[in-house]
Amino acid sequence: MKGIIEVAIIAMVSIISITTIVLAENAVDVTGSFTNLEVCDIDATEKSLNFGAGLKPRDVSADQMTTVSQPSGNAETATLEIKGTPWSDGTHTMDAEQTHWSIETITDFSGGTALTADFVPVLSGSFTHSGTPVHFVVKITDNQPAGTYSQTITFQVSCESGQE
Amino acid sequence: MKHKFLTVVFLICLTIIPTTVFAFGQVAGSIFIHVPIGGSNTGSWKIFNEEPLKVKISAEGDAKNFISFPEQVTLEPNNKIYSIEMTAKIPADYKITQGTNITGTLYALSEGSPGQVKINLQLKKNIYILVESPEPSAVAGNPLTSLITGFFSMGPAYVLSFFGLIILVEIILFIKKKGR
Repeated sequence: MKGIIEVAIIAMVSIISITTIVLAENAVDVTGSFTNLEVCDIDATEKSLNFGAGLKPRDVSADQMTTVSQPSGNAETATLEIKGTPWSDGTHTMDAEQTHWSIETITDFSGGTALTADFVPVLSGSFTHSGTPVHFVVKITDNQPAGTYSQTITFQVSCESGQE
Repeated sequence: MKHKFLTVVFLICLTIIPTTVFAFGQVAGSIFIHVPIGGSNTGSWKIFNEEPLKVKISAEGDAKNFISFPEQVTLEPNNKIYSIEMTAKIPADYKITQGTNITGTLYALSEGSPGQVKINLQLKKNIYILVESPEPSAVAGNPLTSLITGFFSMGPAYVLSFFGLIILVEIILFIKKKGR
């Protein structure tokens, strides 16, 4: 009789253990998570600039500005670069270098940096989300043929991940 | 008087608030695509935008000769992250001595408005194609090994339950035997 009771207790313990294990296996934990991506982006307040129609040889235009920023950029290292094409009216050309740029107001033409056909850095590291003003002036060369000239300026942004 | 005051305030606001025209960006980091010789693989360039944009995609460098991608994509306004698929393909006659790391640069260009000076915005991304030797053909698995492995991969709780059940059955059989 005693042996049967012992066996019954062992059986009960076994059943309870198995039930506990099975119930534990079926329990569900709900967890939440999200991944905040590391990004760099680019924004400009102006899609085009206009230096006016009243310029003549040797004139320096008034300062024109666009504000470039990365509104949601959080990449550890981002680089903003700039390049430009030569001025052209379809027939005549004028060097890209006749346009000067600066992140500060240009009061003197020689104070800015000459625009080049290849990209050069404007800013690197973490440039501000509120925007970096980039100023431009153009100087008309001596004896530049009359015409309506245009130019294309490209801002480029790249970024490497600090999580790699 | 009040009307004039509101008009002046409105005009001042117009001059102060910057006219943000467009913006687009990318997830940081480079693109790495592992490709076996004679095979192909894909990677994605994740870019995003705030307004509908037409973007021109181009490539430079050696990787340009081994990848294909859409040359122009239209980013819809509600697409928070847009994946541009890059397919890298290495021909079967590619020699490993030609290099195992083919590099290049990708560009996504959003053109500005026509004018005296058109201002374009561009994203730049480095891409690396990592060339690998062809994969060996898969070896057929032993069915018995697979069965045992599969059983144990069910998890410790199920295994314990299984053995517990065997013990329980033996106990019941023992009780019945004792009862006789």
